[in-house]
Amino acid sequence: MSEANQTEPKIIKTLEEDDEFEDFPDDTKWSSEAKSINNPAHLWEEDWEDDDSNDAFAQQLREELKKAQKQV
Amino acid sequence: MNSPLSLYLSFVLTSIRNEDASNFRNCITINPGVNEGSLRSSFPEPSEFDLYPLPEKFRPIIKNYLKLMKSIYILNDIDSSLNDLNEMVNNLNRAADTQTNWINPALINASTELINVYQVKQKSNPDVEQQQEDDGTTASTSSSSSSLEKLATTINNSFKLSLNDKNLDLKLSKRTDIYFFLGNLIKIYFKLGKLELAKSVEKALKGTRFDLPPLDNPIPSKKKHSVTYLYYSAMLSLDDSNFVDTESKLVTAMNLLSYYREPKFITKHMEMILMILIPLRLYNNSLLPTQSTWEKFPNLKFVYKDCLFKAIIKGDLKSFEKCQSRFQVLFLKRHLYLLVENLKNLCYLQLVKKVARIFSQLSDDKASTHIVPLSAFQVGLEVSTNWKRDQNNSYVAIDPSQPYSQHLDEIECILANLIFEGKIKGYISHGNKCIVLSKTNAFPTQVVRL
Repeated sequence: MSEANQTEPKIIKTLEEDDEFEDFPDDTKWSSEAKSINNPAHLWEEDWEDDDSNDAFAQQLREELKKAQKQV
Repeated sequence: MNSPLSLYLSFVLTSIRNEDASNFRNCITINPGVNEGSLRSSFPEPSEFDLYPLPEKFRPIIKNYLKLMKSIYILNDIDSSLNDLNEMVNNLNRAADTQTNWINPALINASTELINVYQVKQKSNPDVEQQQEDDGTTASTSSSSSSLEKLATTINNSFKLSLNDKNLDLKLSKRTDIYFFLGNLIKIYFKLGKLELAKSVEKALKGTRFDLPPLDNPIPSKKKHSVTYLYYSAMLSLDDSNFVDTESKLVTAMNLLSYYREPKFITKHMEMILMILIPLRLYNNSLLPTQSTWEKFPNLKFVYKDCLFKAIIKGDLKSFEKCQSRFQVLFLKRHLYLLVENLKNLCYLQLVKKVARIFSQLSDDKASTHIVPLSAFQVGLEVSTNWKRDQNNSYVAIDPSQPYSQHLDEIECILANLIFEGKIKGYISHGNKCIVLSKTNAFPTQVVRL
């Protein structure tokens, strides 16, 4: 089994088991000013469309659609 | 000469008289320091006479506390420690009813210690009731309540005490710390699998006619109470498939986390929030995390980017279902299963887009590429749902002798849903067995920036 295959079940198991929202460590770390590096607005991006019409899945789809067109 | 007990009792009395929260908290903590802890555990049981100078409602607290210290430091008995501490917090609730919110820090500390002692007990000696909880059956059928149920009753009393404080001045009211009690209470109800109770306490909060503290509490360290409450409250909304409210609560929670100076210490908290927020943002706003976000949270990348979202973006239904079943337990435990099921529509949409694009490229009649026969989507669904690869990792062609697994009616339903949701602009011609897509903007952007 490859290393990746060995770690996958571990990650799944950890995520499945750690389902409790734990208490926060160290009260003194809370500040009255937000830290910009943590700003959640920086977490997201808009462009995620799949433009790859040449991947193997799209190729297969193209082939099957071509075949179906011929049959019609 | 004053005995150590009478010195301790006079210290308790002074802290109550002066409404000195910090000193009173130290008087009733289970962690007053090793030496002090051992000393207090060695005190003789106080008589009524010893306790008489204390205000009446505080006497049972101290009596309980000294018994508790013996259970911890001398008997080393986790079960009686938990029982004694639970009893002490109940007595503290009764006493707090007669006080302003000066007593809140002591009540919060005692409740936190109660939860911690319960966790220690569960780790060292998981009781039978816990197994029942894990099995999804409730312990209420048994004659005695489980430790967790007792804990829920106690914290519920603290919550009610806080909520029902009629002091109109919020600064003096015990409501200032309502999110601590509510967050912990909902968390316990989740552990017990009693979401209906969690919903009812939240309803009680919403029904109050008194002012509540802002979630963005100006006292920095109190923001953490809001975050825990918001997380569990969001889970309740998620369970009701109220995806808009869920998102808004989690976004507020993430905003509050930006007040924490050491993000590396709260990675797990952020991961838990993002575990829900990421698929939610994709569903509600068509937004995905940036590359740097994925890098910060490799577990989320593993579940979403490399698996579920990869399938959605490609319009690959077979891979989508494979991911769904691979992470089934995780999605169920985090109340994500319905949301993920809803994301399947995005996978359909991507497939429809792909089929329409390829069809228009293959079509000879360039004037009518916006009219796509339903049979083209039938082929698309067949490929997407049932694709196979051979030994050379090449796709195996569809067997023309086999009928398609999806009926045209099913294709119509899928397309009709996508049109209804505003994801496709166009109409279906049932008679001509085709969809007529808008020539200008057949697939409007779904991105909604908040």
